Amino acid sequence: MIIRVARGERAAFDLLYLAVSGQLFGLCLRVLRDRQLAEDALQEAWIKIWRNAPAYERTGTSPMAWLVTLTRNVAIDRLRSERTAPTTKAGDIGDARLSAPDPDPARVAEARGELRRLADCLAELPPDRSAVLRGAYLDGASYVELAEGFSVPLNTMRSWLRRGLIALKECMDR
Amino acid sequence: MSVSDNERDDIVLAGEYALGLLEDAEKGAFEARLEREPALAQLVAEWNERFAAMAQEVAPVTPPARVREAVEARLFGKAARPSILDAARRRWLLLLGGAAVAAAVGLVAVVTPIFEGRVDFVAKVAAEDRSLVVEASARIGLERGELVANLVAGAPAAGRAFELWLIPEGADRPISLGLVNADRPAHVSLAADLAGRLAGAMLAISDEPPGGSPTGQPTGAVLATGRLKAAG
Repeated sequence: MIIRVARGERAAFDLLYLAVSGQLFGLCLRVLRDRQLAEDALQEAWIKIWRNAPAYERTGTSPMAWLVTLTRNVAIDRLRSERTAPTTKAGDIGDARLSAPDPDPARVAEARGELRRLADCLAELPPDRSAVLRGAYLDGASYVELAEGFSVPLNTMRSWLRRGLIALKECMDR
Repeated sequence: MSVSDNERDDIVLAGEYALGLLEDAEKGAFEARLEREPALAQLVAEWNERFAAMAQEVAPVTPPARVREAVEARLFGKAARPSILDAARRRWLLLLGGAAVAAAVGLVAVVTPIFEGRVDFVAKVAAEDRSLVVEASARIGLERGELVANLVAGAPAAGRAFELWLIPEGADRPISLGLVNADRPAHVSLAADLAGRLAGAMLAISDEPPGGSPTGQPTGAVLATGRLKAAG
């Protein structure tokens, strides 16, 4: 099937771009909350997807998870460098970070498989714990930032997040 | 307890690593272990898989064309052609593209002519579960080409439309061929330059507002794709 999908790498690239760029750009926008930064991050992500494609096999993840993970990490790196850059509005990002998580209800309702299970399992966690996990994944928040955002001591935050991870894994493995 | 404390610690550590929560020293130590412990790398992969589902809660947004132009300029240059690519990259990109698209939309390419008379290219564009099937055929004349697309299974969601796209090999973006509906076959007249690029071109169906994409590029999900093949 793969041979049938594309005979040339440009065609494969065209197809891949068409199929997943919207999802990856949505993710960049969600993480960075700034259109220009998100466009830059998406561009960087595609360059890395192209260059790292030969290493994909070793990662052991599904293609979509590989693409999403790579893009998320590019966006988070960009977010962190923006936060530490002296000229940026770090305060804005901090305010935005701990606002309500914003999964698209329609998408989750239609979702199947892994996404459905994740949504169900996050819903089983106490609301704070799922917000902490989303904050860490989608906002790239550090333990210190999470602790400040939720107004709890650092060690409490560590234990919340770790217990959230264990609960999430146990739920998704069921 | 079904897992040992050590295993549990590693599961948590792998999750923290995947989230980017480890401090520099911890991260360095963890990465050193990753090099020699495949089981640990597997735990990280499992977390990436789980967290990737979180990313997919976010609604897709079509990026502006300038992003793609910038990426292509950097990757392919104006004149550079694929000869610079090594075989491994090419192979993995194809695998990744094929698998990602198959996961997203499913793909079947079958030879099924629907024209009367001579046909040069045919494609069958179908979702994996057959909930959407479009059969297309095309012929090339002296002046122009013609493509006919028939929606043989499936219907757009209420208040939505199916839009058909052509992606010639090496094209820098999809070209709209208009809407496809169940009432009658869609006939598209193709200018000579476009008709000359049908061999190996992809067709795709996307989910769009009633009048079609307002931007000239797909804005909704790509529901099916298929390649135009020379008619047997």
